[in-house]
Amino acid sequence: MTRTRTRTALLLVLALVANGCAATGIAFRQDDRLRFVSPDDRAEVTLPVRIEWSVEDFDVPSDGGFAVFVDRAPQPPGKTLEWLARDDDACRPADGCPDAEWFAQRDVFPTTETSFTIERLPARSDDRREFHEITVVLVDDDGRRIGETGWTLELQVARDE
Amino acid sequence: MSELEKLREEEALVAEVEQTREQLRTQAREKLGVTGSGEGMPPLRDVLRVPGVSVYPLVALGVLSIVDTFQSYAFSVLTPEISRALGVGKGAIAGVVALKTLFIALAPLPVAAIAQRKGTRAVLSIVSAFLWSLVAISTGFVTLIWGLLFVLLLDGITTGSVEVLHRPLLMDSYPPQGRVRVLSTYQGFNAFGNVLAPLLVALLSTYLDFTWRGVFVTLGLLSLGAATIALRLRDPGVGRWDTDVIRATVKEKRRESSDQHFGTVHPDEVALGFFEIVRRLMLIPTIRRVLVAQAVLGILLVPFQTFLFFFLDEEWNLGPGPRGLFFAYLAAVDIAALAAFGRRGEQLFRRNPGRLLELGAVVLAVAVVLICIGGLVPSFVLVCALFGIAAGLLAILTPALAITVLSVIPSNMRPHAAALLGIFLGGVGGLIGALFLSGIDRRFGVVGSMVSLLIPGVLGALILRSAKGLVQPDLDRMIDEVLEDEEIRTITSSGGRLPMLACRGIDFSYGQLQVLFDCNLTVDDGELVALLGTNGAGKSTLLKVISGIGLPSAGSVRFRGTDITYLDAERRLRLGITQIPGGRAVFGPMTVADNLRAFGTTVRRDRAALDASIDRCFDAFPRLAERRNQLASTLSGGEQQMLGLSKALILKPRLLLIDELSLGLAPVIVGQLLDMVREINAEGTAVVLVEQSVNIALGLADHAYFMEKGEIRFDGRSADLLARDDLLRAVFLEGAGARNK
Repeated sequence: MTRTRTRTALLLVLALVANGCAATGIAFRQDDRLRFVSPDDRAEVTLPVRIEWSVEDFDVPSDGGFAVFVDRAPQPPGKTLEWLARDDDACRPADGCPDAEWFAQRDVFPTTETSFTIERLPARSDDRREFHEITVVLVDDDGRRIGETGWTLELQVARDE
Repeated sequence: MSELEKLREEEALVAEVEQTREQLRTQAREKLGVTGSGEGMPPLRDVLRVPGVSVYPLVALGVLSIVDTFQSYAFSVLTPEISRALGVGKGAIAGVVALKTLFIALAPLPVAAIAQRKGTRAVLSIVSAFLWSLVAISTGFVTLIWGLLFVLLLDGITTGSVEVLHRPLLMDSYPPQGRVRVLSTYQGFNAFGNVLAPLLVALLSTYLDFTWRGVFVTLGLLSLGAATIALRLRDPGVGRWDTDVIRATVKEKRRESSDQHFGTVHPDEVALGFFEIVRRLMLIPTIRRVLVAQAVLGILLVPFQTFLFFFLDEEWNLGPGPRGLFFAYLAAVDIAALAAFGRRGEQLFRRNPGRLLELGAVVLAVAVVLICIGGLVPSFVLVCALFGIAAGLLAILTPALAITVLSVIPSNMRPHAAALLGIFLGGVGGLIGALFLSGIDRRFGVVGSMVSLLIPGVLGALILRSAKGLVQPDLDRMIDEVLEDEEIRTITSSGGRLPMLACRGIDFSYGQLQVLFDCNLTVDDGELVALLGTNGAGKSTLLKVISGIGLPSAGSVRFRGTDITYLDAERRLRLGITQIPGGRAVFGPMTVADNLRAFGTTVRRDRAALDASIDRCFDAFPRLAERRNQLASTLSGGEQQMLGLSKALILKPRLLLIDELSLGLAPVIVGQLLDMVREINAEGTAVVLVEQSVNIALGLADHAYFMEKGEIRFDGRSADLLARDDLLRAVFLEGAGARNK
């Protein structure tokens, strides 16, 4: 009885782990198709700040474009940008939503350019040094995330007193 | 021979027994590595050359402790990459990590229970190492958050088990003469893992261009390879260098070789269960004090690393790479500190194990002061120097506390003690520390958090310092338990007779209030013993200690020679010890018949036998038969005592403990009850009768004890007690006082 229960529990755990794992479509070596040109990682900047990157082996717009995420995680690999609106009951039934405005309000910026200017960033409520994280992912024409690499740049924002 | 000569002869005999016991205790202490002097310590290599000792367990467990750090370190460093790749926010990852931490804190208890039941610590160590290696590899294939949750929880369980398994295994693998150095070396392996893990992660991710998946798979494969090194690990057996050598000391003294089981109680009947062991550990003063210190240390040590990350990031602008190097540097200092500590710590242990706690208190206090200053100085070189010295000092705390705690307890309880240490450090202290430091951080920033560590640090140091004096008595108590066991074995093997019940040196406290002091009480088979004394003398408490309702802080209770001091009350019931508590010993809301059935159900008797016993009760007490369907709460006081006494007729115990049978009852009823007690005793049940009424007690029993202020003041024939006016006056005066009121 105990043995059967143990086996059942083990099988259940294995099944759940297996379901949460995959053997294909995952990368073990770093994808270096995209590189940030400026500014440097952890550089101290003032707003507005222009982020520039270069890309290899990825033609824009024929292969797709980019999605820039400021201080937030991107959508999971294989999901479209619309996935981000899955829990927004107001947006889902509306025609044309989510649109660029909806994404911008949530610090998500789809683009086909290799640069992006950040006009403003929320200030921290405490007096800590202000670090912000910019993540760029590759997306196809439908906004579906390509690969699972997210290229990240950390910026230290200096505010005018 | 005159009375005086007899007395002198008895005194000489007692002195000889005491002297022999002290000699045995001293020899046992020496064999446990506590020689009282730091001189003559054998080099570690000589200890490792002792027949039956090998360096292999230390290396195997050390290697496992190195790879044990891989998954956790890699996860903490690569969290941002994992978050981006899976498309999950930091909040979700933080929730998963919190659950993992909870599992690490709780895993030691079930693992200790398995280790106790199966006795396979080595196998469990190997299995858990393979499991965490596979978990690390699986982490590289995770694509969903709950896949991550499962692998991290599995990792929490397997890595959490290390605390319970490794150090107790090392304690049993090596003789006491080298254990401090062995545990320090093991801790050094662990520190080496903390150097290696950041370097490997940096190498794999920065120079070999592996993604976080590649890093986990590679580390998992390395861990798998390392786990195979431990495949030849075997469990050395529990107490090989502790309990067994103390037993050997007695055998040498007595020139015996007997190893047979003694007493009439089978060892399985009295082997302590998991929670009985945990409860017993909590009664050891050193353990209690160190656990409190651990909880306070947890406030300091567990969140310290996280806040140090923030401190280096925010105050010194160090990115992940330099931070990793900083931690590798601290771990390298740890190794140097542990290497320097091993020999010195061993010398302290040999002098007095309590000195290790004192040393721990000093290094802790100095370390927190250095951390505090390090948080304020303006030079990074000074920060490195101060935090380096502090890390080195804190590194020696773990082996110092572990060796002290694990040395004062029986070897079979070490996994449990190790589990408790882990739970108090990580579960209790870690949780409080996270809340405490987060609050400080919000109010005063990360520098304020570093400075605030002074509070738990100094508090922890003071608690550790206060535990210094507890260690030696606890070690002696542990030795005495084994010596007593062996002495009883000697008595039985030489054809000696053991009493049915022997309580020796019982101390008992309600919280901080001690109510029993060094009480000795012996009951022979079939004997009827009266236990007398004034109100509040401790008679009922002593009965509770015998029946298992209360556990003593010192001393032993032996039933037919077998130690039952820490056995649960319900298990004592199965051995044949039953107590009838004072006052209303019945279930008020149940009928008389149901009460009787409930008594019988406690020992799972078959229905027919139970019905026959109930009929016997009704024959003995016809008034109960008349009220069989009446609620017990509606019975008179005398009837309730009859019902309570019926418990003895149903259970037929070997030893019956009766508390205040006659209190507040009419003489006629008392007479009936006493007749029944006589009858039960005549059928072979030994009885201990606690009574306030001297006449009743001494009229019934030949053997009497008299208690006053928690001490046994008289042990002898009832007739002799009647002649002791100095003792009985107090009872009579109390009785007269009560009557006058």
